[in-house]
Amino acid sequence: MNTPFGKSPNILPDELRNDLGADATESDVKLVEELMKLSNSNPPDPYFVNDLSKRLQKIHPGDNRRLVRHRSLWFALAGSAAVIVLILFGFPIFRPVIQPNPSVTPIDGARSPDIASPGPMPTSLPILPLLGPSSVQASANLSEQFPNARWTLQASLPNQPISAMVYKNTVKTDLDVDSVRKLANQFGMAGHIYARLSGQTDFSSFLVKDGKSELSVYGSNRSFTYIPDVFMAANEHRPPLPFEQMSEKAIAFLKEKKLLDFEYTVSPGILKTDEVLINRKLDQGAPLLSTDPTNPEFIVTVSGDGSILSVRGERMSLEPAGNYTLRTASDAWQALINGKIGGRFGYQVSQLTPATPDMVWSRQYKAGDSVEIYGIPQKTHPVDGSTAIVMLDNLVLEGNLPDITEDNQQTMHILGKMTTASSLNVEVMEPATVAPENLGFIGLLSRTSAGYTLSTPDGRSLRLAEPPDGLPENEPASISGFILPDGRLQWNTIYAGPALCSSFSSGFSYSDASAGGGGGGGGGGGGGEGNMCQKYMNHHGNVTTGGFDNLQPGDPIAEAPGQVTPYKQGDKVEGVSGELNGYKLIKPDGTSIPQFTLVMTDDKGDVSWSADLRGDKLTGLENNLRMILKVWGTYQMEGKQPIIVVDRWEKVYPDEKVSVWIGKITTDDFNGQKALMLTTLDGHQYILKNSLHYPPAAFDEPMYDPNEISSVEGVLQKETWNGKTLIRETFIRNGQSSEGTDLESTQMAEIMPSQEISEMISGQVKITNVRLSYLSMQFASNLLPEDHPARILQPLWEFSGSLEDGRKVSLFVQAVEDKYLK
Amino acid sequence: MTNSIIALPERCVSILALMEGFFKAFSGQNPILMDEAEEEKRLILRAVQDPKAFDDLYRKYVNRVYAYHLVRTNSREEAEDLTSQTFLSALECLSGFRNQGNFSPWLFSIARRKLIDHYRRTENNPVIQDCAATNNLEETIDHKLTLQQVSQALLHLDHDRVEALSLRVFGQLSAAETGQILSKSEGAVRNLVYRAIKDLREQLIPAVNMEEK
Repeated sequence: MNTPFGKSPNILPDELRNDLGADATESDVKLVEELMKLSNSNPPDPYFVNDLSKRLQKIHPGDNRRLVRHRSLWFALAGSAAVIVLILFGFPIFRPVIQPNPSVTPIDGARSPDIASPGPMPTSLPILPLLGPSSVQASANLSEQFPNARWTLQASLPNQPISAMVYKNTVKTDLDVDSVRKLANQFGMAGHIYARLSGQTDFSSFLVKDGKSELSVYGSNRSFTYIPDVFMAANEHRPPLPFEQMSEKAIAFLKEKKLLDFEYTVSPGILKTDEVLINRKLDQGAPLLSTDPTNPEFIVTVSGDGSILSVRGERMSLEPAGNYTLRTASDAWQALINGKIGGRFGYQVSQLTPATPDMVWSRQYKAGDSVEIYGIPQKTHPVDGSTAIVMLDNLVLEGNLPDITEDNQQTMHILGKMTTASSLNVEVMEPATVAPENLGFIGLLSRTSAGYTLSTPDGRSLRLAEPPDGLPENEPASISGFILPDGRLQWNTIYAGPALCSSFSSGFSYSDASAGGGGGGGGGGGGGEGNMCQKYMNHHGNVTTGGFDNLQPGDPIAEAPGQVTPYKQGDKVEGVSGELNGYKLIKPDGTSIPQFTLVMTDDKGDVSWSADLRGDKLTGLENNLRMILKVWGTYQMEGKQPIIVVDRWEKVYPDEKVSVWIGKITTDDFNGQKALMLTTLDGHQYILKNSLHYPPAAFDEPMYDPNEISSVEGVLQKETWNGKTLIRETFIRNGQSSEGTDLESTQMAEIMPSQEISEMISGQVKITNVRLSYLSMQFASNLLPEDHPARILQPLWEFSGSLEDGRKVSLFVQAVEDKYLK
Repeated sequence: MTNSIIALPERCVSILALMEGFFKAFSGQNPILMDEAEEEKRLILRAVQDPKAFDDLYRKYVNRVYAYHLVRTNSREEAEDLTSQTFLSALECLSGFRNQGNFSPWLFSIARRKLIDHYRRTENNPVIQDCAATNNLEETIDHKLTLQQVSQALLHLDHDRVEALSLRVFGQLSAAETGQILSKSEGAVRNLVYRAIKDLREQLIPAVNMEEK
């Protein structure tokens, strides 16, 4: 590990030795060496490190969407969705990834897991974890967290129950073939079982195929997805039945399959209109809710004619862990309103948008149809050692197939004839010669007298060949397919409207309040498809959980060291040159404020410092992003941020502009120095200027795939290197051409507004329902070790109601008496 | 261009492969830099957008941040809590970092802040052991110090000296970086560390003797 002390910190480096001074004794030196050894011999638990790594990656805002990895296939296909923000006031930090149980543990596919009858109350009960931070008694209570909220109780406070069971959600991680077969039999499936190692986790998953039906079982959390007819599921566009009818169908189906042998609640889908959500009831009839309310124990999707489209389930394994006396609901409410309730409550706010139907179409075939398709076939091996299956989308490929392995996956062009509705006898399978950008298209779908047309951002109007019924008009769409010789678009799959934008608009996020927040709902985005989805993005907004790290009001945020600049407060800036960058701050009302920054570089071309540009002389800057400007004005400091109040500015190179080149990037070598070279499609060669400053080691491995086409945005320079003109590169898109699309580097990135948690719940809040419930941290439950506090399912007093704008809110207060809590 | 849609069960990969083509993350420029400091600057710039880059940054510093918290709290659980809080806040604030000097002082500023908040919340007054003295420092060190001994001993030291020593030795920051965090000159930091070592030596001898008893 590199540190200022070098690579070997166990030996006292000169850097630290200097601290001790010339009169340091040998004992002093030895003591410091011992301290350094101590530091290195007490590393963090690697499980903790990896677990925190996963958490950080999960909540990273980098792709403008914070989506919890979800077991649900349909989540991504959902329409516009409710953004549920769950902020639990400091659930304990996740502990290490568990080790798989070496013994085989079958899943409880046939019936509900046994919840043993509670025996007599034990004489001593285990102390339970706080709902809040594991090691800290948080001081904030309801009024401190939401100072702008006014709470009104419009429900009676039940005086029962006086005690309730606490459960433990035990670890059941192992899957085996027998368990999968057992579950498949419940669904009446007799097909082969295929094993696959999930790319997401270290756990195996299984796939069972039987004609048109599929069963997927996931080893990471023992959840499953059953689809009776994959083609029907992808093409259901009929209006859903009334919820009462849907729930009747769903319940009947689950009971028939012997999956529903416990008390339950049913509720309408949150993301989709054709979903029935089923939650288990625990002791005292209290429902077991989930930290992801869109992801309960069972989700059944019902078609417009009442048939079952899919079943998703995640079986829990609960053991009773003691019957605990409860505080009354009245005490809980008083503690919320008046007292210190820190660490004992959590809250859930849903930002509702109406659930929408799927807008997905998948081409269907029948026996005898001639088929031409493109795609990357996948090969999966059955566990019984019989012949591997090759699939593309929902089709099983048969016939004379080339060898397909994980290493040689590429887009193939396939011609054949359907033998059944789900099997394709392949006649030709060859590497596709069509560029990837001509196998998928996004744009705006419109309807004319000539039929349906997709208008793409690069100006093409593609008429759909044989469009399916029910396509929407004037909606964004993404279509996989290819261009026929007559110029029409032969579609294979169409995603339209909310389904296309679901990755922008739908979302669920959570935040561990004890650890400083960091969660955000769906929303945000920029660029082509983002603009098309704008109406869906704005419909949901972007919620963050800032201010949730236990700082007291008025405390400054973490200090950042200042930049080193050649100016001090009040200095006149006389023509400092730098590259202009810009972004837009999006306000909650949807309007935006442009922000500009000038980035100064040193002689070597590296960033030395930057300053925000202010004042009323900034007109026109938005048309000069990434240009080298010279600026005059006054230098100021805003905290530690350098500011230049601009008097005037000008382009250093008036003729410069950002252009885009398409080609392949390789390495050029000149007199022992290397640099990146772009060879365009027409054979011109350019050198990427920044790469001239890269260290030699950077070129040990190819930085870009020399076989991939890349787009390079930048500014043509006058200088040359090795006889080749330089490009000051501003943006590189590797592996995909941006020809015909807007320049990325001249667009101002949008920064969505953050919402303080205190603002999330404000104004009049009416609590209209009080009940006992349980809350399960389903999204991470299987990664938690057996003894993790989050595996304890405790009874909670749930106070639910709504905000002035109609959003739903629930407060959860630990119901067991304080004497049982630590 | 933004990253691809959330990962789905494998059966969905081929269906969405083409969609992913449109949401495929652009690679941007590879962050190969001239030297380690420059490499880190590039990594930070990428880390704002790229979860993997942030993970690289995280793994580079997690041990040091943890060590800093551990020696100050003498509790693995609390050190883990504080380490998590530090990196979560760093992630949240990273976009605002914007090349404001070096990363490690900035990160440890956050770590230090979390520790202060922790002390404030817990009103932590750990028991200070009072033991007889001995004059044999070499014997003390030969017994191989434990973290608990050091943590206990640090409680007796002047706060600034503790901070300087913790950041320099356990956080493995340079004197200049430590100075940035503590708003002191390099020379002042070196002096604090020097004094801290002297004070620590005095404290550790009684601590070792107490354990022996």
